[in-house]
Amino acid sequence: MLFIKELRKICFSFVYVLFLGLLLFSWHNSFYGVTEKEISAARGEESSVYTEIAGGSVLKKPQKNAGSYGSRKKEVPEKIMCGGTDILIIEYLKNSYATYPFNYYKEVVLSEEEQSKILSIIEEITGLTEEEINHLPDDYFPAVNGNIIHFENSDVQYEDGSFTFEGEDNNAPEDTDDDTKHFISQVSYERFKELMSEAESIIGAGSNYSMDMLTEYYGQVEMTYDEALEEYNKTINDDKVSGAFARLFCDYMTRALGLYPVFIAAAFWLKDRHSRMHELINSRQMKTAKLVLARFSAILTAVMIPVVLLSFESLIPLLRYSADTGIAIDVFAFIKYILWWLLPVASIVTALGTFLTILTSTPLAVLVQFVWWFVDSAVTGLTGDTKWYTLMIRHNLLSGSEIIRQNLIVIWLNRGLLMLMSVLLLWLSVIVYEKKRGGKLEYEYTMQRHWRILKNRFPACLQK
Amino acid sequence: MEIIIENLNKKYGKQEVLNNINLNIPVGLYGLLGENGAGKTTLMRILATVSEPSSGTVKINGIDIKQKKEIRKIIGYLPQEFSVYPNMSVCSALDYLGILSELPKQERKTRVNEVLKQVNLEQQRNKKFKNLSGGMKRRFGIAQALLNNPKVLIIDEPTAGLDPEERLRFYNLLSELAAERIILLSTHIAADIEAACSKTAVLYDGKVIFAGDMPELLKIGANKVYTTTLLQSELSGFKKRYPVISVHQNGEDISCRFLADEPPQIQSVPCEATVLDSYMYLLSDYKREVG
Repeated sequence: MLFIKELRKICFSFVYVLFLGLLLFSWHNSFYGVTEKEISAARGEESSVYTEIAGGSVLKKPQKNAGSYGSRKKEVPEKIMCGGTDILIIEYLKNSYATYPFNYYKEVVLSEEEQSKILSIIEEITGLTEEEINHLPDDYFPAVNGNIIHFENSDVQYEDGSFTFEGEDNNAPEDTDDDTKHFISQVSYERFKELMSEAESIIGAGSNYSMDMLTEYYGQVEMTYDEALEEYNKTINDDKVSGAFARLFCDYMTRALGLYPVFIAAAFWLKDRHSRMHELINSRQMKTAKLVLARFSAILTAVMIPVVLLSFESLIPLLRYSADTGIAIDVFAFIKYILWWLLPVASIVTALGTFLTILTSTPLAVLVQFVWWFVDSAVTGLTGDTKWYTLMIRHNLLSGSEIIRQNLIVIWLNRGLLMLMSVLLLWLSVIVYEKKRGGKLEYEYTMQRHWRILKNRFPACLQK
Repeated sequence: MEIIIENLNKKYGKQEVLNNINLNIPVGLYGLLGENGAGKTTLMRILATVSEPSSGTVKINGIDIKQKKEIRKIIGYLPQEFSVYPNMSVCSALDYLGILSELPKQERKTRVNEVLKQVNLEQQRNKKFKNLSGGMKRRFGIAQALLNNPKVLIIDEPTAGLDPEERLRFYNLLSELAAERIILLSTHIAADIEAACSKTAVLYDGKVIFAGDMPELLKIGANKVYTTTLLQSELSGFKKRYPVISVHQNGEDISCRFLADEPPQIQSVPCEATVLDSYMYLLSDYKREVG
């Protein structure tokens, strides 16, 4: 009964409406329509978002003798050395290095001394002099070099704004012995890696020269028909179609659930004091554990219900797809993924919000959670980068179920740890709340006073 | 049924808020009188189990105050400053607090109707709390404190912000309720105590400086209260010699009610002491003693 009352209180609160708005916004911007698009693309009616092959779809069986089957990641030293050197020379010549220290862009400008160190790295890799590096021929690097596209004089821009340019031509005549005309690495791959590491230490964290970034941008190779067919079969048989979409759905929703529930938890617990109702509640006979657990469960339920409902936007088209094609799907894939992937995130965020708000009677939890969310977003790669301490597991792909399977032990360890931490935080919340409601912890006045001072000073600082 | 308080102390850091309080509070309306900061609210909060004493013992109906869950079953508490989630209706708020009092569903429903009737808020049952008048909010406060049919009702400064009519109605209600339970009422308004309480204690600076029946309190001020008429220019000099209780302007003259241990050497008329007079005398006498 208390649970229902608390749930109603949350659902009719302003902060919950705000939460729903933010959740819908995140979902709409990232996942809304993806399933329909993939299904349409499989029928050839629309273009896929997640397959780079024109007219392709993760749900479309590859056809033999097709022009392309998409690409996959592979560490090809020649390609990585060529791409890495290309971008290093571009950035060196402009003395403008792109870095993403916390997933946000930051331009780094080097001093003369640092520039000369970068120059010597380039010289060692290319075997060219400074003068030659400054005046490289237009076709020194391939026109399409990983994510770099070189527009040359021969490229044509049409009236509609589109371009044609010469791509990588594997059949080009091999007049490439001249290392002043075409890129030929003068160092081994191992030495190249050392030099890139040196470049990164000069430029700073999050530069283009970590092996992760180099592999991401330049370590792509064309898939063969067999590889493409294997990918397709994995989606149809291993993922039962819906598993692939459920993973992508969770990948996007985890970003929202890694932060937004803390607003509800903080606002909800502060509401008692703000409404001057706390003493009416504290003098009642209800057990503290019962009250804290009922409220925690109510917040968690209120957070998870819209997530489950949003998953239907993907599940319903997949059910139709299954009926149309006869391909079996896993009806419970979304709920399974939501339970093990998203529930622990929402749970730990809510528990931390509950604990810190009860402990401090301030919105400090929001600040702490924001820092955690920000740092976790910055240090976690988009795919297959789950550590035991990761808050938000990312898997920004429709394919790649094997990556999840490979990391399964660490994922279970991580999710188990989050749930354990949630329980621990709830237990601590009960202890602290019990002491506070009975007057054994009466530091609130001091806390509130310091918080007020901080609140008053902060806007004053901003005004200055 | 009684509340027994023995050697009760409460400190916030180095500040002593309650100092060796000893009280026996029987069934009926018991007043706790004292100026702001005397320690009344602290004492009330300890009795309501939302604050912890630094030392001493409190027993309510034989149950030690440390047994908080047991105590919470038998008390109803109306804090000095309280409110309810503003958008909740009167009925929903009472139902919610009933759940927190662990009343079974059927009993809760019955009690909510009963207490709304008792405090005359039946017509407002579906009104949002934020739309209630000050008097209605106070009556709601009593209703929520009565939900679990408590043996002890602890009411802190209940008449703050009420108009005289509401205050009168409020005390009539409390008098009715006091027949079968202990009602501990704290206030800094002496007239409130006079209107409703049969017994009272006076707190000053965390200490009990008086505890007893109303006639005993009135006896303290007996033969100590006088009125005189002064000119405006004489008032400040007069205040230095005598504790003045009230001043009324009558044209150019001033009618002045004051305290004196001995019959004063000026033309004055002895008056019958009220609770306020006795309270003021008690305070000035205590302050003189303490120096």
